[in-house]
Amino acid sequence: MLPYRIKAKYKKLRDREKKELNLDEIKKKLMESLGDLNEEEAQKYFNLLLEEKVPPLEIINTALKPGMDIVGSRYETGEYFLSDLMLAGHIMKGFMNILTPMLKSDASGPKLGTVVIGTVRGDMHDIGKNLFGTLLIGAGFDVLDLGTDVAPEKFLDKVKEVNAVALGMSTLLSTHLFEMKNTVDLFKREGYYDKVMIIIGGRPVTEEFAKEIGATYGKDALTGVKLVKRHLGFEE
Amino acid sequence: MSSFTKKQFIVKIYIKREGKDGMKPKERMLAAFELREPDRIPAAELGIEGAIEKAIIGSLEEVKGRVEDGEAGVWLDKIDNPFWGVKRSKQAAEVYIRNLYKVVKRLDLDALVFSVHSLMPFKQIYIDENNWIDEWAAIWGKGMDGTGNMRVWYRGGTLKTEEDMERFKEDGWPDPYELGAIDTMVHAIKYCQRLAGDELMIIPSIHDGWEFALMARGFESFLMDLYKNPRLNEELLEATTRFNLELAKAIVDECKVDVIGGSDDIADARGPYMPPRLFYKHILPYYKNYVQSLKKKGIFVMRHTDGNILPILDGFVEAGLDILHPIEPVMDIGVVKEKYGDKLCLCGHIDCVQTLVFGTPEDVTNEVKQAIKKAAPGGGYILGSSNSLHSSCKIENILAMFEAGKKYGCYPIE
Repeated sequence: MLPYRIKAKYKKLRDREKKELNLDEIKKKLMESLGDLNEEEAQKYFNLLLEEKVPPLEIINTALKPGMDIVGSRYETGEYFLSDLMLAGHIMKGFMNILTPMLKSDASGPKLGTVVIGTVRGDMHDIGKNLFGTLLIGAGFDVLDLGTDVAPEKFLDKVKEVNAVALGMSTLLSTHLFEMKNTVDLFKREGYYDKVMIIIGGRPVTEEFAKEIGATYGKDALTGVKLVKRHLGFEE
Repeated sequence: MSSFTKKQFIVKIYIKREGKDGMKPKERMLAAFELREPDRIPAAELGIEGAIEKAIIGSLEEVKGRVEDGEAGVWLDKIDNPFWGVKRSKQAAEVYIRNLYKVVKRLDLDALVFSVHSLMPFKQIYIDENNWIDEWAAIWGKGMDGTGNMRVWYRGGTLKTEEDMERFKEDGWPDPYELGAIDTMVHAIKYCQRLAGDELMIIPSIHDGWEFALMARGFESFLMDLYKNPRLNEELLEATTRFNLELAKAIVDECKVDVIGGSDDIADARGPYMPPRLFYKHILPYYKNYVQSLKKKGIFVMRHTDGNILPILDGFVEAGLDILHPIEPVMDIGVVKEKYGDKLCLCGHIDCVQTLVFGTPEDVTNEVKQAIKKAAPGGGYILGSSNSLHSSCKIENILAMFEAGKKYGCYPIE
């Protein structure tokens, strides 16, 4: 618990800041501080917007999403690195953990749906898959992470169980690409292929391979999230 | 696995050995290290999986009986590296080296590189039948992969928070002497030297501190604390580096090796895990200390890291690194050569994610020719795969790679 005097000082500062900045400016500051990966600043402006009762969806669309777009483009140009992307994902995850329950109680909010993710059977690598999961949560999806070494049948069962909108599979091993094909084939056989978007990624995965087996190619975690959103009509 | 028969293979090897080479493999490697032109480009591999070893030499010698509390003899048939995940003995180390030596001779490579860490009887606290925590608090697990090979996988770190670290430190940092690691390791290297030391370049490969620290904490904890609490990472890095430096110094002092290798991944296909500014500030100082301390002893230092490290390669050069492996195709080896060719010997580069796995021998030959053209002029290039000869590489492609090296890699190179 902060001593009263300090709390009062903070409040005074906050009030002054609120007065000086109008809401649009606060949103812009949040966007910029998220883009710059300045967690402390981002948290401050995020709190200000919450205090001002700005609707969650508005915070997402006018500040957080454009902020993540800045992070994405800086990653694309090589200015940002893997850990930067992870950090952005973590900051976003924190915000979304607060906003998601608010969205759920608000019937007009968007329903992005659940994405099932996992590393294919026989492979235990998970850095890329974990990052994809964090960024998906940051983007507002519910994520069911099945972990590593996931059999095709388990992917199918879980997709059915949670009525997932998309399935993301990952592998780092050239030898295990066939498990992606096995899974896609199983979805086709079971008549579930058209009901869910299947996106694949990982070091040995190429665009040609994805096309060949009938899946979407996610070049990296960030592109993957964009593609899922685009597929579901949440992004241009 | 390839349809190549053993008979065809032996014929090919016979043809391969007909060349007239002026230098011994060891001299050839040394010339490359010193950035001089050898008679032809040398070849080396840092890792060869059990399945490939078996395909190349027909059958592998097994460890007889149980190896202390492990079952190396039972495992040998299936696991990619038979000494991961079992408590290792001197006898097991000798068998491992004998198998590797046969493979290296069959492929006519110029160096015998082996992971010393995988030979050492470090601590393993089993948390269940298949998973254990190692002496540096990383969790490992063994299990079959999708191709029926037993593998050992990194499962995460246990030093997530400051409190975890405090608890871990209570008994003192791990000590290589206390763990009994050095004795087995020195025995293994001396055995290796007796077996092949006159002809081949012996490269014991260890770690420099980075991967131990990263794995002890887990990727997320380590990378996030580069921003939030770098002191915690630094404290750990200092301890892991000290530990490995002690191992390395013992190797150099006891075994008089020419070179020490190290395998510590710090990048993925896109780039380093962290922004260069954080690498230079919080990680490089420890690596520099490691390299400089070893170079004072008059040896070469080699480093393996996956991925595209162009954004931080200046740092490795500044640290004093001599040999870089494996320059994955995500980096243009021509660019690396042009910028660092007068300081670094380059090793590897032939694509084992795509070409060696899915390509034809012709594709491989063309890639080798390109690599030679870009990296070999003036010396300082060692041919090899872009990571390791893993179980999905085609045998005929592996052979094509080393054959092309001999055919097109003789100096002078135009």
